[in-house]
Amino acid sequence: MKYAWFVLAIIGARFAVTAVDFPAGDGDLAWQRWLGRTILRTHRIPRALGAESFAAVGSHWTPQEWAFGIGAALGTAGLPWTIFALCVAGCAILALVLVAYRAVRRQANPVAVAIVVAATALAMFESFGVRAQVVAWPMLALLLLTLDNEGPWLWAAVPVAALWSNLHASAMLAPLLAGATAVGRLSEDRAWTPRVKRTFAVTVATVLAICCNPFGIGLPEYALSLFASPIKGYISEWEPTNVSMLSFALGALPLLLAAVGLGVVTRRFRADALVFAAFTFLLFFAARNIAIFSIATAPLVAVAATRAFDLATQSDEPEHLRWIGRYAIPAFAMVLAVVVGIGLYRSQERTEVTMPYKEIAALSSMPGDHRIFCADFAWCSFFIGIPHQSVFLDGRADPYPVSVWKDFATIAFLQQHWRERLAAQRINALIAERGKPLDQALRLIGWRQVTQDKKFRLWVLPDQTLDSRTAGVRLPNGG
Amino acid sequence: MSRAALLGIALLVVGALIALTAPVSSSLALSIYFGRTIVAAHALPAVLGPQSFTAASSPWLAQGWLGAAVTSLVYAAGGYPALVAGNILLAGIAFVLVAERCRAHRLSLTATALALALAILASLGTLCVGGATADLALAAAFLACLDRLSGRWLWAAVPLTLLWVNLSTIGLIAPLFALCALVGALIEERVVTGRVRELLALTLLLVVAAIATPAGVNALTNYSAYLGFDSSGTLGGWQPARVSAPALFAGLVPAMIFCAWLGLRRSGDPEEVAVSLAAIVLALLHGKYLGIAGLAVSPVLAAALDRVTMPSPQRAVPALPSGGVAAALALVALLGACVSFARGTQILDAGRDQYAAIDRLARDGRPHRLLCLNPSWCNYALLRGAPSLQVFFDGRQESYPQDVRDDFVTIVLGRPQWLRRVKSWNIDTVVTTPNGISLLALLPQWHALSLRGNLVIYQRR
Repeated sequence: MKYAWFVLAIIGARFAVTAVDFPAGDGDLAWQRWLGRTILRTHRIPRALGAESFAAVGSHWTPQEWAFGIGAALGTAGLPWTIFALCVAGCAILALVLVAYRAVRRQANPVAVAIVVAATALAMFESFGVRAQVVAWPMLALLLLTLDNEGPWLWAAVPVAALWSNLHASAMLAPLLAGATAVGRLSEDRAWTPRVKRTFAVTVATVLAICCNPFGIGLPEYALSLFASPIKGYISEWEPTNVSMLSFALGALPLLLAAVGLGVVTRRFRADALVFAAFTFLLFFAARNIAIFSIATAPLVAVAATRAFDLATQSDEPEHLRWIGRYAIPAFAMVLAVVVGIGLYRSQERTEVTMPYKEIAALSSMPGDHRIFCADFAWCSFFIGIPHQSVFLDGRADPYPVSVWKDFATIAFLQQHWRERLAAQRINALIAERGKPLDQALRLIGWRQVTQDKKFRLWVLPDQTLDSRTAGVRLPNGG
Repeated sequence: MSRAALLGIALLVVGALIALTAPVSSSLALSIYFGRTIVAAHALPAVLGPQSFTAASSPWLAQGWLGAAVTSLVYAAGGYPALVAGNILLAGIAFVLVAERCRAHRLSLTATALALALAILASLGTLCVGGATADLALAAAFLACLDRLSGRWLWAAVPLTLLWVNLSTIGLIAPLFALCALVGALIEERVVTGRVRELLALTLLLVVAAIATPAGVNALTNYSAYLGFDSSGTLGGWQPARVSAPALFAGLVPAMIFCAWLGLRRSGDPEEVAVSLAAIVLALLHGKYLGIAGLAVSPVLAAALDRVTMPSPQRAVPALPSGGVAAALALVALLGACVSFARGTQILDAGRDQYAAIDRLARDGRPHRLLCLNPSWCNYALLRGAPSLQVFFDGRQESYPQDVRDDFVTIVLGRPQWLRRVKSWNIDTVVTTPNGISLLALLPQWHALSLRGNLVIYQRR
């Protein structure tokens, strides 16, 4: 792993600084904090949308990120926030470490390991943030590592799957991966050998393990329903992957091309064939799968490169030089991480406005009840739990019915009958991005502008009034 | 009948069925208009002409002039059925050439069948009438020339490229493929051998051939300008392949998975591996190259399959009699033409409702400065030739100046200043869908006219 330390250090610094100090790219943390606070206050996990969302009151909800939400609620600001954000960044780094370790265990060359770790890190870049799915990345890497075992350690996959199911619904992958490994081993052995039996038993156990969470079988049911849900078409993370996405072009695609050229499956590891096929289809189906494809396949590519180019493996290092890889390079990498981290901390990007904080604060301080529409539904997450504010659609996304999503698209993209839908939903406040068609349309139909900043604008129906005393108010909801 | 013959017939039937159900290309109207103009004048048009009110005097980069002329001549001779027959013939030639490459590699029947199946699947969506089917046939021929095992035809790639780039801009990828083969040869040989020198000379010659068109060097510069993705999806620039395309989902992705299982390097030919990887990247960059990627990758994948599963040399699939193949192709093409004639399919089927809207505008006798939401709709205004209709922008995107392209995107996407652009160009008529340019519906000085087929004409009062 000696060269991989350099990559891990630079990427680790980047992830840590991004998590702690860069503005969030989405509004999920806002509703996740509210979820965590609700759980801590009521000692119960909410299972339906409430009055905070006027368009879908009572809709069934499976808040799969409940554990993450508690963490987010406990780490709202100051030192607790720093600790929480660093833990999330640590999850991404841990996933990379596990990728490297898995490749090393399979006898990959150190340079090949470093290259695939770098590609995996690039594949993570666009998805990375203080987000629940990042916490799931090391779970996937750990599960694949445990599935590489054939002895009793194979059973470690079961608690990993159980823990994973409490962090993110992507735990659904655990039984599928275990099953693929079992089928692959059966194909390798062509007999009901002990390791085949054990892998099939572990597969069954992981099916049960992913139900070991507050939702029981509801979690896999939720994950399966989401897979076929039409609402994915409205969510950018579920957009089909294409080469204009940098994480794909710079991270996953080089791994894929290397795999295509070199071949990642050997007679000894036929299970890898099924795992690779599954992750390749997942890769092309949704942008959010770019990172997990890379986590799963990077070690296979490193091994394939080692084999194809007949490279030396880690164990071939002369004994008297091993201290360089063990101590000197990691120490140097740590110094590098600090330097990179400081450089990032001083960058201008940190002060960029990514959320309509000013508009949210202004509206929250206005008298009266508001039925709010946000041109990007994630912005509305900041209104969850604020008295007198009810949103049309927010970053919780999944529990909202398809009809709400259709109305969202109709209004947000000025589709046919958008004004009728706006009126029918009795929306009286709207946050839009400046200059976009919706923003222009509201001016044309006589809505009143309340406030604006460089990127966003708050509109209300003409009869809404703004309390002038609200200038300079603090952002609610801990954001 | 031998198993090979049965396979050949089965695949021809499948290919024919796909070609029979192929849709009409949205660019066919423009091709025929372009071709007619060339044939009538016996010369290439120098400028876009008065039918465009934004760029009448802009030079028309006459790319694909030969393809347009041939298309219009075929259409004039036999109507739409003749175009269908030509489409089937070209598709058949492409797949027969894949089978020939497999034969040159002495591949087994199973591997050949796999290669053909993947090539056909990856061509789904490319085989539209008036579209890129000719490019498939030319690409298959070019790849056969480049294939070391096919032997003697390497230098035939030069005249082939010359023909290809004049038929279609897609021919510009020929030098890229030759360069990749050169890189592959260098990786394999590690010294400058005769083969490396040959491929270097070929690459240079192909670059020269690629600019030997009326568009000259502009063809290359324009092509590179389009490498910037058209994220708005409005300009007809590069559109990355997405999994919703059947050719990617059912063709290239399974092919890549097979390749990753086996490893293309096991085919034993680094030149072809390099070309295949370049073709995959090209297809992911722009979905219209999916079919060509299928043609490039499938024989190499099949060779790898044979090497892995059957290490000892195989008896090659016997060659199909060329006369029989030609007769079968001709028969299927004739059948396709008959089916098309019976169905009454027309070139306007690519956008019957949009063309009806343009007909309506042409008939009302008033002059119109027209903007179409989709530039290809305005192609019909060119083909129809109504002097009262002038278009803002049409399918000749590459010939329009950059400011017109930018203004088109600004207006269509309703970006800031869009209305100012509409006024400055004095646009008075817009053909769109109800969900497109919907800000116009809010302006009192414009009125909407709903049409069938979910279309709206906005006209300035």
